[in-house]
Amino acid sequence: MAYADFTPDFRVIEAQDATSFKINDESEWNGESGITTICIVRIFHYLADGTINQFDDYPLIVGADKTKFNEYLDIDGHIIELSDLTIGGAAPAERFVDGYYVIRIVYSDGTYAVGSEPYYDNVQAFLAKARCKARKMPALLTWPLTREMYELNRNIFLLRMFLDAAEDQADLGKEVQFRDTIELINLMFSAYSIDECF
Amino acid sequence: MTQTIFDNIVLGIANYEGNLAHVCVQMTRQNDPDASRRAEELMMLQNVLFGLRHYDISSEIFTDAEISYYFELATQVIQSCPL
Repeated sequence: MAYADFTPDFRVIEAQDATSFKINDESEWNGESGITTICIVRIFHYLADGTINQFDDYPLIVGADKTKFNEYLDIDGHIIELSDLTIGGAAPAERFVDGYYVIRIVYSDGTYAVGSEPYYDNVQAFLAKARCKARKMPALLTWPLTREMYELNRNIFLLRMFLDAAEDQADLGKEVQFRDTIELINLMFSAYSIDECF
Repeated sequence: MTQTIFDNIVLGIANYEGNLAHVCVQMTRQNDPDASRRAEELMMLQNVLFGLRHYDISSEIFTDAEISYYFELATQVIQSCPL
């Protein structure tokens, strides 16, 4: 039968502790969500050396069970726990590594040949670790502002700007810019000896 | 401390930040020589807020002492910068 008028889209939000992320559907279904029998989440982690870590497929519809799919469609969305994911059958790290990710959701009503199903790619910066370290930096500030504190104050503000810019760069698929920005952010963390949060 | 109490304290700091920003705007428009200093103070308050805003206390990323220090820092800025 195939979808007649379906435009896929969805939103991704990483958890603050980097152990999960939420997906919220933003598709234009035009009444066709009910005919969906296959819905798979694919996660690609693009590494700086050009290789890609691909997680094993995470189905939102398992046989006749559409619980996860219905959560995904619901306004509250569906949370994918890292602990429920595998890479090559093995458990991944405890937290999502900061970096450049592509989250793909594939949809089918069962009539599409494998590889020809409609899908949507959401390019996403996972930066929970960096954001957590950035949260910790203001603890270095003291009052009143001295000359040294003026510089630290500005650098913290600058780092926040760079983090936001990195998010935007990833959202727009600007991987090279994203990596350059993250490299600078990490240099700033090193300069101030900011420890890992987790 | 509950999330609600934490969020209310952060909201109070954010409220002051908004007012301080407004003062900075007026000082800048008037070419007040102290405008840049006020902007630095505003920047500091915003940096503290960045650490606190949308923080989930159940994540326990911050210790109680760290949270207290952020609140104290914000208080010092607020008390030193009368509007």
